[in-house]
Amino acid sequence: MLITDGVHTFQSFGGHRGTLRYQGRLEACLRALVYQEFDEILIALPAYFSSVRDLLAFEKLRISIEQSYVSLPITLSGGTTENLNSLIVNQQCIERISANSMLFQRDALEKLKSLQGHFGEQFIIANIVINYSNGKWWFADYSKQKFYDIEQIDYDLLNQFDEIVFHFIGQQGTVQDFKGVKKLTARIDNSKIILAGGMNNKKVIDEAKRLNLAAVLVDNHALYSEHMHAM
Amino acid sequence: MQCKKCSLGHHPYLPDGIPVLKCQFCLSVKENVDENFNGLLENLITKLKHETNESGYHCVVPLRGDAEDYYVIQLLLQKNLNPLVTFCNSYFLNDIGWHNLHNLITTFDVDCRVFNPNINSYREFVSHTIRRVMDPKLPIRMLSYKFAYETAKQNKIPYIIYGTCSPAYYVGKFPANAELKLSRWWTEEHDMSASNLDEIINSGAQLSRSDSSAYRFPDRELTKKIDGLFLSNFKQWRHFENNLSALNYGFVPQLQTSTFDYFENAGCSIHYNLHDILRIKKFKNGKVSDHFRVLEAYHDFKINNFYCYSEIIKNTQLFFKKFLDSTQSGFVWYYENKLKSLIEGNNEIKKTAIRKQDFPDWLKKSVELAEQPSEQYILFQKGI
Repeated sequence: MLITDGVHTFQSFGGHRGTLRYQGRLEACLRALVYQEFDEILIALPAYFSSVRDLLAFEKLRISIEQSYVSLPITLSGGTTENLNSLIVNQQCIERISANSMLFQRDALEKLKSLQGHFGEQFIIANIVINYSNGKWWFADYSKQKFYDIEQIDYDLLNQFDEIVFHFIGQQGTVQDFKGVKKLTARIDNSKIILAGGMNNKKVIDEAKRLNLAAVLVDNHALYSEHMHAM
Repeated sequence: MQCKKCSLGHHPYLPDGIPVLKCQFCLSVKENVDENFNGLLENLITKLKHETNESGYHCVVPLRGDAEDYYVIQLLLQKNLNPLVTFCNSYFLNDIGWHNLHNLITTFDVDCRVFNPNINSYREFVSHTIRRVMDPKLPIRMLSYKFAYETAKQNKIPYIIYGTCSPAYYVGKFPANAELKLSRWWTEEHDMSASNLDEIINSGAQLSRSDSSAYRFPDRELTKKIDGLFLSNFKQWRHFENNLSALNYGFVPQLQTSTFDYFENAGCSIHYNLHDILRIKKFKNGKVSDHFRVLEAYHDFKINNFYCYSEIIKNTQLFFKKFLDSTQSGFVWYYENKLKSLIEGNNEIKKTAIRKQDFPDWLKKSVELAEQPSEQYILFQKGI
């Protein structure tokens, strides 16, 4: 999983733009992930880069992807549903998109059904940003720059998606067990769940395999070592 | 955007236009304290000791011959480890560099494997990299990585230990205690500014296939078995203090005209000369600004900026004549087309030099013991 503004990538821990740490040029990161033979890459353009998250950012992203000769399927997250037409025309290397702010719109279900009708059910997945603080789990709506109690999330809507990414921010390879994860995901079929954020130790990956989760996205730690995914 | 507190702005590890708000270096200074490294070094030492092999060595330590090598070797020996050191000849060492290298091997009585690259193809690649990527030290860095991994493989040693993780220490690009390992990505991002060796070689370097393979980062099959680790990610790191300890073992610091750090890369003819001026041209940032920033952040001491370009030009001329074996017209062309506009149009490059009284007291010893090299660009010399 790469967090980017279209050109640069950032360490995937830290909850907001102010705490981000620069990691490297997107082009070199993509090349490294291809070299390391990952199955798929999720590229996220978070809403806190709203000043750059426009069509120009997608164009820069397209150039970076082309220049790094990425041959892996790419899921694009962030601003995707707003800029869908442009993406369809320009981003031929994008296999699917991930929706976040769309989830919190009133007509989310209609939009989802429309997209699934046009491009197939596997074309769109959900991406939920999760944080744990003050003894509670919260989810983020970056378009409003607000966090809400996880109990308010619309599980019926989430279940309509082919897959759902739960991105735990504020972690850095520190997720040790699935206590929190289990609570969050109890109302969703395991085979739809993708975990991201801090998922960098063998114990967590083994547990994900045992639970038959759809996937685990390893974050910047994939670049810290060439062989972490072989754990 | 330049940090108001530490002045970190342009840097090779931080390209322009990054939309971040907080300064990474200021963050890493807060992280680089003892409590964040609790037990990390001890765990690493235990791991190294646990990996016994037929060769009897616990790790490989690649040398440059500067003060940091002394600190790393001394630390490993104190922990009862048996390092095998490697040295890849850059042909850039001066008499101080050769002395420091051979003195280290003799003083600490460590086994050393040396690689002298084919001077013709190496020289060709250096001349290519100063034109193509403006980095004369890229070839030796890549050779050094490769040689260390090959030596580790031959001796079945699973660890290679480096000293400072520069992107983490000088810029705060990674958390101070991150479990970083040297990787192909690491070298492309930090040594080649996100380019890659294929692009660099294929853009006109006259290297045969067999010659170019010596410069490529080791394959995954090898890096899977051998970890390249940085000691600075395992303990609180203060490079000035660490390097001062080298003086106890006969290390000779080198007087420089473009930094006040007489330890780091001491003995290298090119590092604070052509290499540094090209770094300023490319990134608007000389190595001395890293030293200023670290001294101020970790030791609360400020030294005013200085740079002495007349010495750099003299040294560059010598590099063309002695190392590249080029004619005077070769140097003149390079100066006119690559350096003149930078040197003559840059107000930051001044004809001032640092004085002893400008140093903090605890660092004055480095000035007292520092020497001028008597000969530059020596291909080989017995240093003791």
